[in-house]
Amino acid sequence: MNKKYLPALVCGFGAAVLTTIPGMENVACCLLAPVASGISIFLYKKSQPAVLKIRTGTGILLGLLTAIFAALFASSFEIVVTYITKTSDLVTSMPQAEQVVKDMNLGPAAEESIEVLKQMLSDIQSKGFSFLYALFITLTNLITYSIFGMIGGVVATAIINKRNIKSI
Amino acid sequence: MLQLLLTGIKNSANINIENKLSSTLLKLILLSVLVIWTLGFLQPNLFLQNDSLTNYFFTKVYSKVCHQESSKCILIGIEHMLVCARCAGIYFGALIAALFTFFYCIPELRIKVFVIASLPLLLDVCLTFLGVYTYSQTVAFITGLAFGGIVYVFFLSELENFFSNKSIK
Repeated sequence: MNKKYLPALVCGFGAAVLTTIPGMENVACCLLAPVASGISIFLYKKSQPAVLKIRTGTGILLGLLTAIFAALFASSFEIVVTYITKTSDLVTSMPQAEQVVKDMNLGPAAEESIEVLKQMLSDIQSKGFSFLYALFITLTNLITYSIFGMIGGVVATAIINKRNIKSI
Repeated sequence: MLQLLLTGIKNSANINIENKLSSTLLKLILLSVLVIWTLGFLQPNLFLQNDSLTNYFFTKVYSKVCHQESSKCILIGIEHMLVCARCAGIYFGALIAALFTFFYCIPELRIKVFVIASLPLLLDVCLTFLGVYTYSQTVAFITGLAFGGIVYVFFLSELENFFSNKSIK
């Protein structure tokens, strides 16, 4: 495997595992993806001693890759947990979601939206899996993790490059 | 010879102007993004109409980046912010730093500064997690403020380097 992808894969997996620990979200908040990206760049630098300065573009790319891996793994873990427990956040937020759809005054379209939501809910409660729900959490995870991962990548590149200059 | 020297000076002046322009543009873009992001999590406090759609939308967006535990979210008036005190501190810190960078030139920061700014936040996270002391919104907000500001400065300096290198090429 390309040396660039390995640190991203390892750190992304690590971050995703951490998201499954109860209470970890309270501690990590928005910092999980940026920190994972930072560690991934640090590992990349360690694996390439010949590279004196990491380019910002490489930092952004590594941050993005780490975030994508983290989002994919975190989503799959959530899907597995939902499959086992047959419940999810959607169950608790369903009344609120229904209210929102009703408030939009979409007429027959609102009815259809509520039907889709109810179908998702019943799928989760009976089978433990809903394709739409899986798609929704994967997409939202991909978007948010990617943004924060890239930010983490840029900051980590700045820090690691400064450290290298100092050691030279 | 003189002609060559003059062309060199002219070129470097052009690059300098280009760098300054791209830096200001970058700062403006980052500031705008931060303002929009901050207004987003202040939405329940700033826009008091009870519109379930916007409330639901913003709550869902910020739930992906923060746990939103109401006891840890700052209460303004009758509504809580959509992010916890620590996250709010980080974003406000970045916003303040973004404003400062327009009026003050950023000096070359060492890693030591980054460590000093992030250590209080890390200590606060660890000590509250271990139950050494109870969570305080004020402490979380202040430690987040310092961290957010420094992270923004590092972020900006790296992006400026990136764009100035590109323009030289």
